[in-house]
Amino acid sequence: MAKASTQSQENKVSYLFLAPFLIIFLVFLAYPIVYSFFLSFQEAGTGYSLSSLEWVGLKNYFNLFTDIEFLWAVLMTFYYAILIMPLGILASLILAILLNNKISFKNFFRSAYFLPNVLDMFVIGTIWTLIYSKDGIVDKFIKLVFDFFTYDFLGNLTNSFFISLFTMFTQGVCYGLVLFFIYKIYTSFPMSRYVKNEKLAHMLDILVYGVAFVLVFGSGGLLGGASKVLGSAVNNGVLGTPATCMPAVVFALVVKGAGFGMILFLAAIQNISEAVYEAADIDGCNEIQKFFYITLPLVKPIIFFMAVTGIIGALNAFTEIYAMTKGGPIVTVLGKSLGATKLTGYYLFTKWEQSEFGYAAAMSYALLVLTIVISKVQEKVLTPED
Amino acid sequence: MSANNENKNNSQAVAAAAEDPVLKAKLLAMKYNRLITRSILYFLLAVGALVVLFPLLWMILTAMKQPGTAFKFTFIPDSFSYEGFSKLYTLDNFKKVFAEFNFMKYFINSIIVASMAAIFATTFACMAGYVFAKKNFIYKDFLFYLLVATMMIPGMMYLVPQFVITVKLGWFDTYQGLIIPHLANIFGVFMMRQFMRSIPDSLIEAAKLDGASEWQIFTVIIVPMAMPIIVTLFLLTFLFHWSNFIWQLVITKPGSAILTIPVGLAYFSGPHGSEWELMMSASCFSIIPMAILFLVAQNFFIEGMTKGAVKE
Repeated sequence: MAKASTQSQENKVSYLFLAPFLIIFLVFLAYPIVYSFFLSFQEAGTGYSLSSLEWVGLKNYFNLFTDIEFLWAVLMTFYYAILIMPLGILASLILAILLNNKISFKNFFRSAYFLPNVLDMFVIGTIWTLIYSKDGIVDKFIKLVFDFFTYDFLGNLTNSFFISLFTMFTQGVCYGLVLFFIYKIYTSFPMSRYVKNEKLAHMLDILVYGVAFVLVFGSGGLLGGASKVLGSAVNNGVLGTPATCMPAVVFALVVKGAGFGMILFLAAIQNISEAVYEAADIDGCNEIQKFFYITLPLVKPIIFFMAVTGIIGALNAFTEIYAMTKGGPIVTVLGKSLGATKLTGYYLFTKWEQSEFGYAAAMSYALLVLTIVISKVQEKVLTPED
Repeated sequence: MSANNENKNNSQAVAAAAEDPVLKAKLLAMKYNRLITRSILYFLLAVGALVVLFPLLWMILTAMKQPGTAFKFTFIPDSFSYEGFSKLYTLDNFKKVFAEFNFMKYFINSIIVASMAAIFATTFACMAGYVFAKKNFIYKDFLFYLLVATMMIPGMMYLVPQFVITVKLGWFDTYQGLIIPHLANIFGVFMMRQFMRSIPDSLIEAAKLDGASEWQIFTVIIVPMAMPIIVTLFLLTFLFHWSNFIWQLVITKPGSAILTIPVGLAYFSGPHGSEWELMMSASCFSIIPMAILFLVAQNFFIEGMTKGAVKE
């Protein structure tokens, strides 16, 4: 009897402490999910006001799955996520590896890299809009690079021989560097490691690294293609060109967020025992092999975390789009004008702007299901099995 | 890693090197090698810092430029005199933004919204976290899983229903509307719970024996012990509300008296979008206070933001 009364006393006290949080939680976080479900079966009638909601059944959902703009927004959100996940992970990892040395001013660099994380997204987006705008600094730089890589030195040979020679030389150095990296990767990962048959391994070597070579150097390959894409951006600014707007937005975000992942990776890397690396040294591993066989597997949980947050971030992306592109530039697909950076978050916002609350609620629910499915799949694919 | 090993090899080799000229030369070569790797490392670190901080640098530079020269990339004056600098740079943009466009009002609004929200959200999360850490009560597990499940939902999904509910409460374009819907910080509750679980039960028991009430236990024992995490959560919620752009955009009217800095800037960019010098000076009002706050309390920020993530 006494125990029961202390328990009920404890319940009372607990809920008194919980009350302020719980009330806000129920009204503004739990109830909206339920309410949103009902809202998704309604439609704002005449005047698109909240007082004139009408019950329309599954109409919003039917419209949603035949709405090319919505499907396009989902596609673009995936594109955005696929760009931002590896780039974000790579940038954070590089910063972490750089900082994981004995250096002076370590704290300075750490704070400098982390600082952009705490700054207002809208304002940062506005600054990048200036940086990317037509005649802005990036635009100027791209024009320089484009002129450089498309410089026709044979055609200009008679005009200014030494300038041509200089361009030829610097281009050669650039290409040479890339070639050197391919060679480095080849020496670290020869196919004979994976294939027993020596002849087959050599053939695979030629095939894989040959294809890599062609992909980089071939006309329309990585280098040529990149400079062509960059060149086409010259006329409208980077954000005004469909091919470059998304990578540009993603780059701005990667630069802003890299410090966050860096801290996570740094903590994980510092947990790795020095002895493991020393053992690898004795076995004659080079730095690249040490990275791929020791560091990378041990920071896998962080990579998983960043992949998951990358997807959620893509579905939540709004402020950066609002600040930088407002969903544009327009591309025409299947005879429809679609915004090249109109992600689901921004599309949801435009539906709110048009007071189509029911439709927006239906879209929210579809996206919620999508999020759950994706995170389940990611969990299956990326979780280390141990 | 390699630098370490070289260090070790160095110290072993030093004794022998004193006599042997060949070893001496090798040692010298090693030293130069190390110098070169160090310089490459510092160069890369500096490039990284430059890229990451470039937007801030660019914002400040553009904010100080003479009107209409945002796209002229001369930064070094012809002569290093007052005239030389004033040909390129000016502080008039700040004055203009301050005087004509009322950014001070937006700034104060942002401070009000962010600090009120941070105070209340931290208090609520602190109380809830304490209960989840130290109390046993009915439906505790159910509530906990409800919170976990809710946390997984992307924030954009709340936009429409939260908006509709807030409007129906009559809070459209009011401070309540800006602040109250975002006061339930689930992440904060978890953070508090995690920390408070490490506070020994014996302390609480002892206080109970001394006749302390529940509220006294909370304020006299729990809160002072949890102070570091409370400060962290306060700063994080302040930060969140300072840049909670989308909510502040949808819940206020254009031209309203309670606009916050980012929203004020968004409406400002409509008519003045091409006056980049003014835009950037206005941006400084949002970014520089936050940057200073970060520099003052950076360890709180970095640990608070990353600790929750690693736990995942």
